[in-house]
Amino acid sequence: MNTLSIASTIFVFAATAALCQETPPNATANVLKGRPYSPYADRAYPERVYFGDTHVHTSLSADAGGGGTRLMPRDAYRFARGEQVISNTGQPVKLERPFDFYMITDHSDGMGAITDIISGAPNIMADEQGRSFHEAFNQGGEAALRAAQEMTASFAQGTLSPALNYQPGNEAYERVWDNLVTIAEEYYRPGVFTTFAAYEWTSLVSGNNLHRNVILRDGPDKTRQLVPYTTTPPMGSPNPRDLYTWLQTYEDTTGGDALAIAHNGNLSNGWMFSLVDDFAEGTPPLDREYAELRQKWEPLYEWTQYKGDGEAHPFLSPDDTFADFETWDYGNLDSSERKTKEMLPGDYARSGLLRGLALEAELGVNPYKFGASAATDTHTGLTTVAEDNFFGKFTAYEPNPERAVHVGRRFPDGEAAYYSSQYNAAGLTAVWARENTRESIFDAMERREAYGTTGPRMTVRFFGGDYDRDALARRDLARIGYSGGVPMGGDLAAPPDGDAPDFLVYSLRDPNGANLDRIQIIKGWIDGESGEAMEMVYDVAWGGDRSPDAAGKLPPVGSTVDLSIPSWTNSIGAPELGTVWTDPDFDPSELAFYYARVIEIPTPRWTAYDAVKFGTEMPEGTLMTTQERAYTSPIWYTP
Amino acid sequence: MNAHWQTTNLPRPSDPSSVGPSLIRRIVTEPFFHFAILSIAIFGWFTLAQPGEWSADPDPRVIIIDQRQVDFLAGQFEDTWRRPPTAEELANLKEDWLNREVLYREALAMGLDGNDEIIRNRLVQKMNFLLTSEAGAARPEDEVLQTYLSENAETFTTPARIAASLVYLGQNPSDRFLEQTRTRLAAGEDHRQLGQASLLPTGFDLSARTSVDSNFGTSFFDQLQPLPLGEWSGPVQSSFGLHMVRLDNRWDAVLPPFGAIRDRVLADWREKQAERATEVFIENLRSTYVIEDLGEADHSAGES
Repeated sequence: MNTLSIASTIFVFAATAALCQETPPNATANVLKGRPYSPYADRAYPERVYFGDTHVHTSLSADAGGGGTRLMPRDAYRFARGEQVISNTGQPVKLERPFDFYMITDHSDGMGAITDIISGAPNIMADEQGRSFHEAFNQGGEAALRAAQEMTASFAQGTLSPALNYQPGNEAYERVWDNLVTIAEEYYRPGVFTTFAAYEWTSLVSGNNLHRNVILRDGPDKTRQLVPYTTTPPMGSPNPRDLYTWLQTYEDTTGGDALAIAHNGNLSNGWMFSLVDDFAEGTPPLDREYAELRQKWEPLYEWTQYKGDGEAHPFLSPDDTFADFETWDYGNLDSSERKTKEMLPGDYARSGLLRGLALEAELGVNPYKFGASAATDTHTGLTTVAEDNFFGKFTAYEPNPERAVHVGRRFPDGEAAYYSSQYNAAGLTAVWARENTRESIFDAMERREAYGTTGPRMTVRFFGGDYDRDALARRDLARIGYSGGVPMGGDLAAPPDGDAPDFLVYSLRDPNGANLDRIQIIKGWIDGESGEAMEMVYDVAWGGDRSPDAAGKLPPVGSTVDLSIPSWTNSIGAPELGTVWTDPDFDPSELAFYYARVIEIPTPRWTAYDAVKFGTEMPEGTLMTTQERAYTSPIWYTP
Repeated sequence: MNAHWQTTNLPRPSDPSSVGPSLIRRIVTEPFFHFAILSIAIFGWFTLAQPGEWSADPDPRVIIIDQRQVDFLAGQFEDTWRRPPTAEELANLKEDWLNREVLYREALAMGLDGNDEIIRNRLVQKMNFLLTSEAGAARPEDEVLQTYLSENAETFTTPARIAASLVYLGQNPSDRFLEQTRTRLAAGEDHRQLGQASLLPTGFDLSARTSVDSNFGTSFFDQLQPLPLGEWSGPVQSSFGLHMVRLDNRWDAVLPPFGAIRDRVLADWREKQAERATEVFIENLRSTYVIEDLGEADHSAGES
């Protein structure tokens, strides 16, 4: 395959450039040629995959706290690092395995409300009495005793000075953001458990979900300098362009690094991956500036979460057997408007990626060049993505015998929009990073070397470039992957001879989870002649003795699920799968993207566990099994 | 002055005549007690003093925007954008604040704040916030923290770690394959080239149980930990199949010296203090109420 050597050199440089974000340029300039003798010395590519949640609400979010959620950020972090905690409804809960990284993303709107009452009164503790009390308490012993008595007496007589705290430097009355930053710092253990300063910017226009999570790479010295951006004018704005301005301001004034991850396009009624600027007068087509900003600030999108899976929709992808997965297509977030099929292309990740290609052809920049992440959007402070350990989206949906049979929300005319049994116990973000630190994990997100799963922690590698099938027999697949091309999230340039790119993909099942059914590669492209957006799903590797039928369809893997226990066995599928796949229909003149989808064998869904643990009679049509999956960030091909 | 607050019954030690001095001292030197007291006092201040300030405009039809309010709005803006607002931006902020204030007052006048579970939860949360943040500011003596550390040593112990090299044998290796692999390992061949090709790592650096078990399944760490150092053992079962294992390093669990983990101990201690302070505070407040539990009388049969 020497004919591709020039192309592969380009790939190598692309890979090196992608990695430069992690290390000073000089350190990686010659990583892949002139390597040291030791195969382990100076390794600059990420060898570890880390799992975590990028979307967690605690009691500090008004819609969580207002709904009875009591767990605060510290509780959430303790739970995430593996400790047993008491849930909001008083039930003990613990993770099977801790997460590697975690962040609290409470809504920025209303985040300060708790302490506005405090910060509105900045002059409180300026006087003598307050100071002397405070000093006495700090002395402890007799002095504290006297102070306590004196204070009690003052209080009873109504002569207490209005001055018992708030002197500068006392962290007691920090604002909530400062508090969140402090707590993130408290729980950060580089190498073991990484936390981030983060928040959710909850833009909701006419009920259409345009929410973004903002993640900051930095420590308190930088993150404390600004408070989170809100969506309510005049202080904030629901327009993403204004959020981008805030992100730029953050980076300019602090020297820090920020990114944003949008979620729930499935509840945006066509706005998430819109073709027009919905915020501008007359909704003109998107312009190049918007495309640049969106691509710059939003390297990832949340493909799956509690409120439904957002990869693909069966109406848009009728030939994709696995497209109808945990689908939420009733309407927009607040169910004020029903879904119509015209809205769907603006709602889903795959169609968003396709629109991105079309817009790139038009504007020269792809606004929707996003990788894959996944999260929960939990409002209980508890990330519970295992089907047998699902604690629900809201406190009211923590385990109880009736939780699966509620009407989740109704349309204005009273018809049910969705049922609580539809909540999707997902997902987690996996990142390929060199170490478990803020810098390393953030940089992996920024270069889109990430994938989303619906909860299981399967390992997935996906590379595009120039590979031989012999690579599969090698024991250093990662090195081959990086040296022969680019990892997930990367870009492939045009090969000079028009040869089709190869994709090296492999996956290892969750060590404590189910076997793998198959690996698929999904290709999206813009047809050169018709200009139409096209997509194709390829089964590229599968477990068990199966072969595609005459129509090219691989038969289902079967099922070992026993709903009466419920249980399954790893007697079907395979613990690991991998292959080198070459695009059979490659046209070097067409814009395209490729991503991998890894599907597990069927396992019991959370509703199956509820049915057995509580004896809940599930309504007809309730899904009782699932096939968990992982979505990798795409690799883009640009002629 | 709010009559409700004068009736508040403060923690017992305020009445030394009824309790022995040593008991008082013991209770009073308990830090959580200070927080409870201080919180009550601060709480009292909010009730007593703040409404006093607000009563500067007693007429609900008069809205006064004083300099402090303007500064507050400007400060909020500056916290978001790292620059002061322009005159126009500030005017917008005032306008918005006014509009919301009008609606807020009308809502209060209509009693819309009553019977609202969300407002109730929010106010409860504010109370908890006031309480716990006081404990969060405490700066106890090191002795207090050292005692706390020795009483909660397990929490602060650095977990045991092991490093190992692995050869994956597959799910059901034949005896012959197993013997071959053993022989080749004994002959000093590179273990990374032996066994069944797999995506599984051929070893790992010093790692804790959580990390090892995350990669190889529950209980793998416990099986490896007692193995002899530096020699090939096994096969050992993981969730993927059987492995030959060479334990390369082993660090036992160790309690770090106080100095190295002081901040962690302090944070943990503060959390515990805040919890206890909250309990004491709520208990004291409850004691100022007469609680008539009519529900219980109706269900004397004793159902759950």
